[in-house]
Amino acid sequence: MASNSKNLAEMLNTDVTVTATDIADGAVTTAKLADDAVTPTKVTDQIIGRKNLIINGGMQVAQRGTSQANICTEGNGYYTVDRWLFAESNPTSGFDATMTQHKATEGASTHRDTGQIYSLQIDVTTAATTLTSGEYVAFDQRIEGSSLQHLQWGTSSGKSITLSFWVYSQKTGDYSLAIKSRHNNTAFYTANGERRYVTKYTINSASTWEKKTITIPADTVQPIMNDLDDVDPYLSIQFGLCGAGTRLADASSSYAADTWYYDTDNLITYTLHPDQVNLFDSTSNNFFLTGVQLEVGDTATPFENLSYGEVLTLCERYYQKITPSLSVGQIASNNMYNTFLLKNTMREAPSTTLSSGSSVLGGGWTFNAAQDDAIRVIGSGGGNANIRAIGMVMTCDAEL
Amino acid sequence: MNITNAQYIFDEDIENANTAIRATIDGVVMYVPLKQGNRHYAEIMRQVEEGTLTIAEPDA
Repeated sequence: MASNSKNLAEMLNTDVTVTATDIADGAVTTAKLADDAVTPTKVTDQIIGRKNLIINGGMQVAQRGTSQANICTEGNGYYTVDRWLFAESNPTSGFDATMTQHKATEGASTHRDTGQIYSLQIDVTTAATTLTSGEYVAFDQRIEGSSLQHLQWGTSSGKSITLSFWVYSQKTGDYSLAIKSRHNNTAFYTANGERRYVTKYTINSASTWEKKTITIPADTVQPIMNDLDDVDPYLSIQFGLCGAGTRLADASSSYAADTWYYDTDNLITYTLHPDQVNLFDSTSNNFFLTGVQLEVGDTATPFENLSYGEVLTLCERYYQKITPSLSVGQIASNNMYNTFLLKNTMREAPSTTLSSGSSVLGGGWTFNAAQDDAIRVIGSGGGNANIRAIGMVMTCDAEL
Repeated sequence: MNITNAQYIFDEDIENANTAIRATIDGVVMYVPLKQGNRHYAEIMRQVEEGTLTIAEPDA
């Protein structure tokens, strides 16, 4: 009716102004927009600047190595792909797995379907069809609280977040996704526990790449950072692989799935969805993950592809590997001091390890890493006239 | 974390104070700065407070 009225008005040469009600829903398509008609003010923050809160979601950086066998025996820790933490409960059922930075061959479904060459792979090497209560296996990424202030959590203005990712497994069924918010005050954290939101997604088809999207409501109760500066708060995005007993969220208690709650029970329980399948029930099972993106709002947009160098730089805020060479003569019993600037300023003064170099002689080596941008290496002569360390590898860990 | 053999490192030349903790963490020898924001240091101090870990004094 409105358009007929407009035609009549045009015939009578009167009002030809087009109002919003003159335009039918869906009538203005992208093709009808002039190239310069869309300006930054009409675009959400989601697609301006760096939108992905996950680092290394494409799994392309693996400074520690590309494969680690027997991760369930090795225990919690960072292996292979940067920023992804393997987490478990020291399981006693005997299952185990290899964690790998998997690289797709040309034309493989990983690349064809997901747009990514690399993925994180969990390959079950020893199976257990029955789990013991309290066991769980998961892996997660901890996102630094200082990167999350725009979420405005802990206020009524808190913004929801949306996670999207590609997943592949021979084992179909429901898998757990947990969002965990770690308070920055240790005393508060110890007394009240972790804020958690546990939900699930479903792998529908075996051995098929599937894209999943999950929107998580804002936590309007606990801020990610406050003025009780103690340790860095973080938000953990955790992918569950198996769990049993008290590890599962429980609708009959105050720890139900799909709602935010404080886990006050020793910080270790209720971390998985009760419908979580057991990935470890067969050595035929693998779990692949890539293209992980977390963004503000309730809409998943295409994966933000960064160059390898950009992702590596982001990862080096949390972990670096450097290869200094040191050599000094006539040190005798004195100490030698040498300072190495780190590649990038790290999140915090890092823990440091040293592998034996290709040529190490005399004395002992210690580190003073009280800074987040440099390491002081102290060589103790120990009575030797010369000390040297060539080809050694130093790692610096400031992970959350 | 499995933490053993924790010992303070004393810097006698510059700081004249303990500057780090050398410890074996999950089988790897690490030098851990005395910073609460460092996850290894936080865990060491948690275990010390819990009474399950003792940090040895530095070598003389």
